[in-house]
Amino acid sequence: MQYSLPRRGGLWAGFRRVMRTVLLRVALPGSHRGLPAVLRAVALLTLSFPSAAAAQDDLISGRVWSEDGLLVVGAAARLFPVADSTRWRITDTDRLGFFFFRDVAPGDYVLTLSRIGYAQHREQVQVSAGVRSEVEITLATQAIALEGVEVEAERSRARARFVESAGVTVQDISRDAMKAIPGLVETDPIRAVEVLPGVSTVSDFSAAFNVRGGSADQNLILLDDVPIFNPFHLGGVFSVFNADMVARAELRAGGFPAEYGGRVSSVLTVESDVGDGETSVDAGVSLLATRVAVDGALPEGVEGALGLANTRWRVSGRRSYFDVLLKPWTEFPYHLTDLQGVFEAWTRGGNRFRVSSYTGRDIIDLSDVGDSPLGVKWGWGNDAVGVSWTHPMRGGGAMDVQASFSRFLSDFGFDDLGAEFGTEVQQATFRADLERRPTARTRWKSGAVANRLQYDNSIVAGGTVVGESAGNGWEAAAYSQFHWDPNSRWLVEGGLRLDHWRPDPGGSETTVSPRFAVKRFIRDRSAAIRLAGGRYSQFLHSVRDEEFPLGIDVWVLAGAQAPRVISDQLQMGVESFFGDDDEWFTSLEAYYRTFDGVITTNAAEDPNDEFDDLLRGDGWAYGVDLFIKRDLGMTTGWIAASFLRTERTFPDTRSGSAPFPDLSYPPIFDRRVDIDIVLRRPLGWWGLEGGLRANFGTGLPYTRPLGTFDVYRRRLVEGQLEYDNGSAVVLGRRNGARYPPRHRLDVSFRKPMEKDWGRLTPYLSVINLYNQKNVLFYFFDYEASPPTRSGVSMIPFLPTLGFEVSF
Amino acid sequence: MAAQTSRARRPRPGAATLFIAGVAASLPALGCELTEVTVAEPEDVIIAEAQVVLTLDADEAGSVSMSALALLHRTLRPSGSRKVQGATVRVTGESGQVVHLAEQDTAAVCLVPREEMTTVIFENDSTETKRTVIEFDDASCYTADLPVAPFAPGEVLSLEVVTPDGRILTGASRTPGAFSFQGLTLEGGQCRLEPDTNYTLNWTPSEGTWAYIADSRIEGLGEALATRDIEAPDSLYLSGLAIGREDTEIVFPRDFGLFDFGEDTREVIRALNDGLPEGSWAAVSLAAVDRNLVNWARGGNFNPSGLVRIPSVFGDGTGVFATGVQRLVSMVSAQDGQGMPPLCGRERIVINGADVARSRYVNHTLLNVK
Repeated sequence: MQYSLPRRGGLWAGFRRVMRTVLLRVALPGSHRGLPAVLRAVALLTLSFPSAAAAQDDLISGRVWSEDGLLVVGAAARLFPVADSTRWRITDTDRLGFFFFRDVAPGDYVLTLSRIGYAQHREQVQVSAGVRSEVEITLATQAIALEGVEVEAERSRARARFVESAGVTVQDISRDAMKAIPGLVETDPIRAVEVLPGVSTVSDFSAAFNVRGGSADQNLILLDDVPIFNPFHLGGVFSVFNADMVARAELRAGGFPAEYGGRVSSVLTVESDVGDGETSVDAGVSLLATRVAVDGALPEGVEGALGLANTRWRVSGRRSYFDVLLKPWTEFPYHLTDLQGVFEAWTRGGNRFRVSSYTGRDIIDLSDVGDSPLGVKWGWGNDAVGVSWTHPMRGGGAMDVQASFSRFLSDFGFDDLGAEFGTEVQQATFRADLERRPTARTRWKSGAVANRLQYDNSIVAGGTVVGESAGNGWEAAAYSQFHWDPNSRWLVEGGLRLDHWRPDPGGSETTVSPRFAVKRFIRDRSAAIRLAGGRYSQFLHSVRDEEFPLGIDVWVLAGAQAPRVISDQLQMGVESFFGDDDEWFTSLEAYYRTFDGVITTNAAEDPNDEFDDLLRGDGWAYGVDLFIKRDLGMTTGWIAASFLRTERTFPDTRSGSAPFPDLSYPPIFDRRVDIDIVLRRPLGWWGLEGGLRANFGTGLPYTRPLGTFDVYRRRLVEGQLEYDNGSAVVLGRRNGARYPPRHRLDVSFRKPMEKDWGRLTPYLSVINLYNQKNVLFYFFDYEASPPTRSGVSMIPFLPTLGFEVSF
Repeated sequence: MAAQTSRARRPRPGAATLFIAGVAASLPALGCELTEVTVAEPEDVIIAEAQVVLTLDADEAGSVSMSALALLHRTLRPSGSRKVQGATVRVTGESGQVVHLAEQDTAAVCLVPREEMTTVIFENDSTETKRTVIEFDDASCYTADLPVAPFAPGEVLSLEVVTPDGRILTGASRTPGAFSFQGLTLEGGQCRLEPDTNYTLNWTPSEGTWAYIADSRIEGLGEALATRDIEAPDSLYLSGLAIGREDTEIVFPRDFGLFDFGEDTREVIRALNDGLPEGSWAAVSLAAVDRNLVNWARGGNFNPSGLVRIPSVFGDGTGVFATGVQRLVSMVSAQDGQGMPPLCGRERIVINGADVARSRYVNHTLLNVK
């Protein structure tokens, strides 16, 4: 058993005592002895809590259907007394068209439902004391979009989350909001999250991101619940997700409940837009690539024959075009392709069957380019497919069953040298989840997950296997979590997750992860104070050198080569809606996290020891995130301000002592202050829509060289040294210096033009409007007279053009 | 009027890092260059590159000779000498034996002369490449060559460098254990290869070693390859590598040259994939080396200002104290004839997991069935 408890006192000490008590009473992590007790605890939570938590039902709930039998997701439900339309409450329908309002005083109410593509539904509802009211609503199709309906849907979603969720820190960005954020060449769902609180990046040239002091490999990136290991093109510059296929991106930055496992830092969910079943096309051309997305439905005859009420599908393709464009003149050595598809079918009983898939490749081939002395060929990409079945239960619950497969592979070779670097990681998952709402005030969810992971990395050069690591592992996980509203002031969530990891090579480990969250509503439920904590575990790592701002992740599994990561986390904060019509939302949240079992490459690894390639370390992070968002009005957007301190401790391989002493240092992503301002506004000139992003961040740490010196190689035949055509560095304290603060202003302009055939939207995006030279890294030249420091900046002033069409 | 540009003599590929570094290097061309500013003088740090190599007798007679060198220099500066003169450099064995390294008059004793390729571009865009030899002397060389080594393979050795201004640098290393070639027939340290034939060197594992470095200096290539229209230098130095104690096989010359692949050597190294051409000969060293050398050579995390080395010399400076145990062999590529040394001999071939003894040299293509 190996896990370390944090070393801080105060608040953390209290949390630690609670955690320890829970752990000791339930089970010892990593020990099979504790297993039956843990299972008993999970069963206890699963079976006994809901009945114990039964409470009064003052509830209006309902399910919303379309005319053709489709459950309507994300519709805004608004409820207000007949006598006073200003006292409204709002929520949205969940993924199964379900909504509810609790603590509704007896009386007559108006209930409205609205959603883009449907006519607004309005009906009067009578609520009697102690009676649970259930409604079934069918929305009529209406092609004309209602003004403000989409904004309403977004706000209802945020409001529902505020009322319904105690612990998880979650922010989402819809596709429209993404497109308003000035983007590098084209809209990028992953780059869009870097403007959220708690999220920082180390380089403009990489879409990889860090959340609250976690490393980039600690973010779980899901496309329709299927993990994508390396969702980047061109060494990380662009993400693989085509914005036309994305409905929204949702980032859970902390406090996630027991149903989430696999990564300790964050969960980024990219949700495909499956379309509305009507045939339509979205296409676009940017300086990077051309893309097209088509959606539609199966013919009614086929749907009927299959016993389906409704089907929808959407597929997209994207390809860079410079290699084709330049073909007559030169061999452009790079291209990328993406293919993505999603299919959804609904039965008349409301069952949903969904298939989601992605495949993409990057190809760099320098073997036929000019006088290149090295025939470099590099190909990499992801393949992913997921199948799920969702069965809605009476009263708002659901059963989900999902199977998925995802892999990433990369092959980098020098043909002339017989040198090849290959990496592959894959994951197959089967999971089943059951969610029930036994009473108006309780909800519980339990599930089981089986994951099979496998990786294989190798470097072969000159007939010698320079490095090789491979392995696999089974993860079996079970969880149970509850949600309890004892009254209108409190919201309590708790849960327990059990992860059993059996790697090969390596020994089995079991982790027990308790999770809890408490929320206290104040100011008539328009504000709340909340506290959440829990333990999180992770069984795979990326061994990419984080010091280098480009590159792809190379994965290894926990086991004989690497430890699992255990992260204990505590966060507390306040959040509130305010202003007229709740147009503003703000949250302030502080957190503390520990990371035990993080890794870095062992530069002094013994080639005779196949299990010492990686060094085990630990770390901590604390910080405060402020988020202020405005959803209504001409100017919308948000301010995200983050303060962070984080540190990592690893054995110091450069010390010369044995065993290596520990060295603590701020990791490369330790950006102390990061502020983003994102604004979106119709400009009133020629129908332009403007977007703006301003960013300020304090400098990132780096290791400053104190001097450089000539390097030599040995010539053993001659017993001499040979100058090796380069220089090495004498390094100062690890990450002991910092680059200057970075700041940047990006703007975008979009001009939607309605045409007879559809819509044409040209856009201009300008990155780094005032050409600020933010530092990517420095070069020190100590041989120059006088010695100099030069370097490479982040992206300079970069305007890009493109256009999109929809019809 | 001609403009001159210099370029690296030998690009050294570093797998994916090389490509990514290339991308990074191209960023300045995209307008990403930062304004150059003046910074403070670098710290004056003494660098010690010290090594002790024990050479085992080629004919297995049991004698061991020793050569030790220490190149002392300083961090790069725009001006001032980088020599470290008048230092006391000594190596002490576990047994208490001490060897003092004597300071040499010139660093050239420790160093192979530098070669620089200079490309001259003429006004009519024609180019001419010149090879220039530069004798580098801005360092201090200390050596000791002993026909009978006072140290034994496997022994722990300590290095101490004391400079006249009182700076002390120290390091320690356990020398790798002795090893023997297997299936190699030598006469006076020499053997013969059939022309255009690869030969697989096998040897016993060396206790405590982290890697085997195989070096070769191949002579006579210019004439031997002229008939194939391949321009080759008369003398070519190529290295091979076997990583880990148990990696006890390397194919000569096919597996050599990985770190020597460049524009000017590409064709020659490709030609050598099929074996040594007739008329050429080679001095081959196979050395079991210690952890210090491996750590120093392979480096650490990325730093844009230069390579990161993992040192094994500490105190008032940095550097490496490496030890190795080597065997030297001379191989000549020729048809059998009078005065020729014996065929390099029997060697072990593993086919489908079974050892197969073979009395003659083996063409490399057969080995591919392993």
